[in-house]
Amino acid sequence: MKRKTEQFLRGACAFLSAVALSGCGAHPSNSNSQNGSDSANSSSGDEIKLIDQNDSSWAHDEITLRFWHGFTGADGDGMAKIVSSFNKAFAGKVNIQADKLPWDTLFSKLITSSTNPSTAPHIVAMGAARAVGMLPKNLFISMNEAPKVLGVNESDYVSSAWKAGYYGKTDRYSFPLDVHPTAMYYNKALISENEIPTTWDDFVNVCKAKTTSTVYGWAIPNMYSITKDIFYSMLLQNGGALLDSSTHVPTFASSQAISLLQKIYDWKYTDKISPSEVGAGGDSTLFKAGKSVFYFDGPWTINSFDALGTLDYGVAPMPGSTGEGTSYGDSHQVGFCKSTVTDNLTKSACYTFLNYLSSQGQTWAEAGQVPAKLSVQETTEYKSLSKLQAFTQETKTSQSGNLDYQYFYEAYNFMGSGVANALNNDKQPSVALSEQATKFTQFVKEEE
Amino acid sequence: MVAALLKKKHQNVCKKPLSKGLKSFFAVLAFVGPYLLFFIAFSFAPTIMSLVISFLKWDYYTPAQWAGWDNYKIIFDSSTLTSQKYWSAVGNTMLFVAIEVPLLIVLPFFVAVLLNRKFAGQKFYRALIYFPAILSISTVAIIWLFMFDTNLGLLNKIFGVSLPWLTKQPYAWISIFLLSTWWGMGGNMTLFLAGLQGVPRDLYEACEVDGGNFWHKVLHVTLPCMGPTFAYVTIMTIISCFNVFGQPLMMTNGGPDSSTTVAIMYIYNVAFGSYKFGRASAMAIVLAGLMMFISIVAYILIRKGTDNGDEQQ
Repeated sequence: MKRKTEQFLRGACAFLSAVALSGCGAHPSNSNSQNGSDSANSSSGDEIKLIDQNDSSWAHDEITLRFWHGFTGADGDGMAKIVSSFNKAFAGKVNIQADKLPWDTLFSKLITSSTNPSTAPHIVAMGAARAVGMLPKNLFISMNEAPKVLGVNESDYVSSAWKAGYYGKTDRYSFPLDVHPTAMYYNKALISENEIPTTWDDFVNVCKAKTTSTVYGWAIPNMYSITKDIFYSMLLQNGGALLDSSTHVPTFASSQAISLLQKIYDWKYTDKISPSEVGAGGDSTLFKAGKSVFYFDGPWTINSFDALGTLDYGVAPMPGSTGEGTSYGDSHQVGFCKSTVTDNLTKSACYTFLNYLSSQGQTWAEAGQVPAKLSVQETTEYKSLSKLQAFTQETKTSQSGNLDYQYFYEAYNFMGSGVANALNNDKQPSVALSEQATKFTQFVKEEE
Repeated sequence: MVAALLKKKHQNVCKKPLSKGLKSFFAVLAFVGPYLLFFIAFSFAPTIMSLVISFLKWDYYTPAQWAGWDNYKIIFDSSTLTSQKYWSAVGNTMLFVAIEVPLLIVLPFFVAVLLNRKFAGQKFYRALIYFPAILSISTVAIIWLFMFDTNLGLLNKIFGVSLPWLTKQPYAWISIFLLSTWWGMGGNMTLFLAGLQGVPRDLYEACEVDGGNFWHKVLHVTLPCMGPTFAYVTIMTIISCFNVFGQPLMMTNGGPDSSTTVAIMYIYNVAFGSYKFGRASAMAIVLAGLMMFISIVAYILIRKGTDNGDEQQ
């Protein structure tokens, strides 16, 4: 009996091990490099071209494409609107099944579904900063034919967003949808338009002047994300960088970076333009309550502030971000998945949807995003979206970071931890940044 | 002849219990089978899979490679960032377990004892205390985030203080404990209430005859009779506290300076942030071992306590 039990357990273990090993090992087509030769093989022999919604000679079954994105706010509603109108326009030819997932869920599901063509998406939208980490996983097909198929070129798009899709390689792996830099929201009840600062020195002076016992200039978050975008933008404005462009050694703990973080730290703890404790969402809460003059965030916040109906606010570019200046601005990109987009007909359908997405820039702008297509930005209708113009101005010179490096997003987060540790007064800026730079180097070593 | 009779008798004797045994086996299987199937599919098999994966270098999209003990070595090599972060996260989890488990046993027990007495509105109060248990962690966190806001939050306004609830220690932990206790108390209270129904009334009456007051009844009747309930609630609470994830994720996102980053949060990040499934599985196995050890020790201690109580009785 004992022997039989032992045999059974051995057999069960062997079976499960085999399942585990075969499940994770059965991807002979996956290579570790993105060599550009992985464009979809034609199984249908069709030429890759946009599908005409009025084509009466359509001889195929309706093509169903799964589209995954993480737009969950007003931009999610905007995307649903675009998908719905596309499905109506292309009924019988192409049907999009859109899945709205929280970003982190999307990234993990994308990996775990990548080996199963029956569940993996065909089209995915994600920030370029996250997409660069996905490239070594060989999930996306190259999209070198995109400009030709869509009939566009670089001058039609925001430059940084157009270039982001190459990730420092010679092949394109994604196509730009929008750009989203961080801009400065201001409460009109607390500041007039002619007082809006355009440099950081002006900014802190205005904040000092406006800070009273009940109102702060800017509620600087102690631990949460927006300060890392601002710090990174300030670093770029001063000619600094997150990582060395060739060696990818972290440079966010340089003496210049430390002095910039010290500056923000002093605003908070010496100049006291902010409460010393601002927790999760505290900066937004104080701004909405009329207790702080400025608030920094991406364009998606416009719709949620408008929905309040009581907040009289405006949006200006982040200080130092326009003209000769710059700011950090990531771009949502659209990629096609390798496991599902395997023939030219499917690829044509994907491009048809991408083309439609690009043509719906106004809807996308109304949903709270800055479309990457310049022709959209030039229309009167777009210009009437006054609060979006500050972001649009920033996109002219915004930068997208070291997108040629697979650990860019991780480096950005390690830097963010350093910024948070300093602004939470846990560590001195120099210690906080240096510690995180060392940790990032160690992290990369242990990843490889 | 005698031998033949004996053989026949023996056969009959053996036959009857066998068919009875078979019947009873199938009856047991009918009851246990569905659960057993689910257990094998969703608990046993994933555990074995996880054990196997912990010996692999696997990122899901490239073929897995045998890694031997490498994933375990990195966890126990204190010079690595992975090890430092993992043990720091395990330490944070242990802190949560050490403080939250007693809170989630003592408070619900006394609330259950109070709500077990008959009084007007008894059912209303039971429902009121159980209510948070039906809310999702996202809903609970949003409610408490507003309460804990340093500058405009309800708690600071009520008490006229400006405590940095979510940004500084020890307040960040205190806010997580408050939320977790409020959220988890109802579930355990219900279990204790169910256990209290099984305490014989005559024991309370005997205690009263001996001149015992409320506390005497609790100490000398309720507690000794509730041994199995305590054992169950303690083990389940220890396991659920070891698996703490949503509360620190939603309230502090692991901060300040990773001081509320718990083990499951870190393991999740290693698996689905860095896609190191082998390493994450090894971490999960080590954590499970630790969890099992503490649960067994707790169980033995409780059983010992209960047995002593029984002997005294």
